[in-house]
Amino acid sequence: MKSLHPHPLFWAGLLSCVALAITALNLGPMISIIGWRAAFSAPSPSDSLAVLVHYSLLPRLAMACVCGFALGLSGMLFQHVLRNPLASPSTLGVEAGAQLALALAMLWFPALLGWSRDATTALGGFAAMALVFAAAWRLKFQPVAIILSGLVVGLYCTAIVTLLTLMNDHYLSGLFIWGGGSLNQNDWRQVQGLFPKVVACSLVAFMLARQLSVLTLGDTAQSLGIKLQFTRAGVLFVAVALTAFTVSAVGVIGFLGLAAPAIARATGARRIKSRMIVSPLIGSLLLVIIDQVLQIYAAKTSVHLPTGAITALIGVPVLLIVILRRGRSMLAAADGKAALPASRLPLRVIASIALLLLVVASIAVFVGRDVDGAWISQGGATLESLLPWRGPRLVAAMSAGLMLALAGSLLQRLTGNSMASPEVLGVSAGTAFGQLCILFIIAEPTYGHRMFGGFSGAAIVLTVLFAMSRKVRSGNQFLIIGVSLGALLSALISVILASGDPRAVSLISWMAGSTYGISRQIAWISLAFAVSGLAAVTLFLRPLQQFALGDISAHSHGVDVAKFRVMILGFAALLTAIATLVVGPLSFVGLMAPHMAQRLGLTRGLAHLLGSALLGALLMAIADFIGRTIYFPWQLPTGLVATLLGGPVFALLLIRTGRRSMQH
Amino acid sequence: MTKMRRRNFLFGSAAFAATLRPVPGRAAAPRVVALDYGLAQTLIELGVPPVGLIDTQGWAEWPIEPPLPASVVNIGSSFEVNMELLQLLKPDLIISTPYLEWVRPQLEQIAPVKSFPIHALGSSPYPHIIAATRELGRMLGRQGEAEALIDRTDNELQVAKASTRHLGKLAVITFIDARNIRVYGPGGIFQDVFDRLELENAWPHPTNEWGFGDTSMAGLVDIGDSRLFYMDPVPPDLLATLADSPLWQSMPFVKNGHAQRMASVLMFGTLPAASRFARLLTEAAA
Repeated sequence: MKSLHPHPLFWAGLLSCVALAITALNLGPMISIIGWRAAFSAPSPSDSLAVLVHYSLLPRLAMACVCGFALGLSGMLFQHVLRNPLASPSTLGVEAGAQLALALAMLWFPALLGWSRDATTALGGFAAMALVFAAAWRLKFQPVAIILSGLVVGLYCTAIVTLLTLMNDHYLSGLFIWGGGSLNQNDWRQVQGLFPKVVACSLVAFMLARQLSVLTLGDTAQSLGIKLQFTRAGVLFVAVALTAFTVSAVGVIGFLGLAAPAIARATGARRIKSRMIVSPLIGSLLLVIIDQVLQIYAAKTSVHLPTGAITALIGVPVLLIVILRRGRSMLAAADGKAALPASRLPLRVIASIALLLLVVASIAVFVGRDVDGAWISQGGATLESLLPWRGPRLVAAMSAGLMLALAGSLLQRLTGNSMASPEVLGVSAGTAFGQLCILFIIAEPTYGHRMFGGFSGAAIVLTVLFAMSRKVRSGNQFLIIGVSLGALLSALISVILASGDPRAVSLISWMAGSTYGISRQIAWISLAFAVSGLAAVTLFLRPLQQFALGDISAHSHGVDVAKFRVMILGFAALLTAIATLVVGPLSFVGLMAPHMAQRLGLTRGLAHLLGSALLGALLMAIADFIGRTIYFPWQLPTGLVATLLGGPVFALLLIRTGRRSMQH
Repeated sequence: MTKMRRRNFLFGSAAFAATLRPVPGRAAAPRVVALDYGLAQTLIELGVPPVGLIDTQGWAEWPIEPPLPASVVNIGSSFEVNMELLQLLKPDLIISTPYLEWVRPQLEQIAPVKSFPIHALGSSPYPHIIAATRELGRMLGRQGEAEALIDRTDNELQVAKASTRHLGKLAVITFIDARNIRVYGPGGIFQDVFDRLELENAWPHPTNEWGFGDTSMAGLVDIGDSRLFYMDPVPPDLLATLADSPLWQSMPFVKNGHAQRMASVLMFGTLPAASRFARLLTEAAA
């Protein structure tokens, strides 16, 4: 078989023929009119076609080459150093981190951008990667755990960028520049700026290539000494820098850094040196092909699709293929739980959380702002008229928080992965996707229509998950498929946003976690599900505890592992679907609350589940109150406020636990 | 008295538009809340300024005209209307757009809701704007003012038609940033004004159902040496970028001095926005 495989460069050659043909199709007619010389020398300003070719189309082509090269190389370096075929700037959160840094700088520290745009994005990229590594440390760099952490960090950063744009831009303009990755060029300056940086990074990478090949030998190479650790760090640094430079130049080109090395591997490029050449080449060619096709499409239809979002639509399926084909070997049993001290008085801790919840809830009911914006505590007839607004959203938010936290702690126990959470189960993505379809099918969708769409989307994802449950051997694989669905959805949404379609606006505010459209019925339904979910979870308690000791142990205790796993997944997914309809897909309460409960000493069994659930409700109650009052009369989406409140706490927890397990 | 009248006003929320008898004479103006800038423009011109409006701070940046009375209360964004504040304002009527149809049940708990479809109906928005103006006049007992507004706009467009004749072909754009541009065309009110002034849009490509399309700076070359107006708001560092850009400098309309900045006009506006746009064109032609 092997001898039948042509050389990897043959495939690269074939791909470049395709790229050349499409480029010729797009640019050829124009260049044949103005001639080659006019295209490559500064044209006379009177010849507008020559100006167009020289100052826009050719630089754009060059930009696609350079960015594709940089991302292809960056992805390949990540994959090699981490020995993980799923690693890439997108799946490690580096791209999204860089994008968030850019957005924050644009809004609050414009001086930083004036000083160095590259340094700003690099800072964001490194921060995101540090966070991912801190989380992965606990799990001993188990490949899937790293990717899961990376995708979650990426989604988190994207969520914040969405909120920022939501609050700062009336007509959503500018959003797609950050999210969509636009390769439009006005002259050669940007290419001239980016090119030397990419060349420098590539040279460093090639110089390190010899030591890199040692890395292939695996962990035994570690005995070769400390120098290797420096090499690893150096290569990671180069990879992040490459990503940061491209983000600062053109925005997020989603998942190209994943797809290019994967394709390079599929063409048979196995050794480090050939992969180092073939991956960036394929990255370049792929981006050129996609971008030229989109240009032709735009010329034909006047519809401009953002290149970066389209690459994501193509790249995410590549991620899925890699998982399903090579997934099994990467799914070694997770075993990285750092032992946390258990509280001796779990009842007292739970009682305090419950009391705090009560206090926050009463504040949220009685305190508000008057017409003139003054803080007042309302009562009597005024409160009676306001309660129909305040009550449902508070009840719904708390119920959603409770359900998400419950689902999160179930999933974390089931998979033994501390980054597992309902937001990454894919059910949220399905819910969002269902709503999106409704928005485009029905001209004037009511809340009921949207509920229906959301439920159908969630149900479809659930069915798919169950159908796959026979093949999938670990809960982690479920999760990573779920996150991929989430990434696919956010790419799709950036494409729609780029079109400036006003219909997408209401979807964004729901995605941001707005509890704005909650009616009394929905609030009561959510509460009913939350309470019965809490009651039902006690049934799972015993088998779940066996599960925490590992599959084999659970089996020997008479638990039907496969059946039980499906049951818990289904239960968690149902809770997630209901909660997501209320509070959007990006609150991350389900991720954060179980960790917080553990830190408070509620580490085991019922105490942990109960503590997580109450903390989830508490987090949402606080978020609801703050979101409703702090920026009056504007209301901030509860889900995102919860993310912003809990995020820093969560990051701190991860880093502290990471450090502790390092000392072990 | 006023309270009684308000109660009458609230009566029969479902078939509101059909059953409401026009309020005779100069009775106390009903308390109206507007969830859309364009409809608020019409309300102000009809002499019934809204008591509450979304994002009042943005008024000075987008519609600008007519001036917004200081008494108008900010009720949050159109994504999330502040329902509590809306309740405290005790409106008699809420006017809205189809895009907010999904919160209609909530809004109807506070006051009757009337929604005006204007954009993306498969035709130019202008006739729908006129219909909405008449309907608003009828509902608020301001038929006379509504007809006067329609006539006044007509006259202003007639006057503008004479003085803008020599503008020739022209295009209107907004810069999202230096590399990404929004161009206006059929389906929006700018094209409607062009049609009434018998001006020709220089943008040769189709636009979406809301009347705009996306392009790059290089795409502007298709406008040729026609006149180009780039509308406020202009991103902060844009003008410096344009000055340095060889591509921009070589555009035919730039070389001929046919590119100029224009103050903001609400693209989803109503008759006052149309008059404002015509007047700005007249000023540019002068």
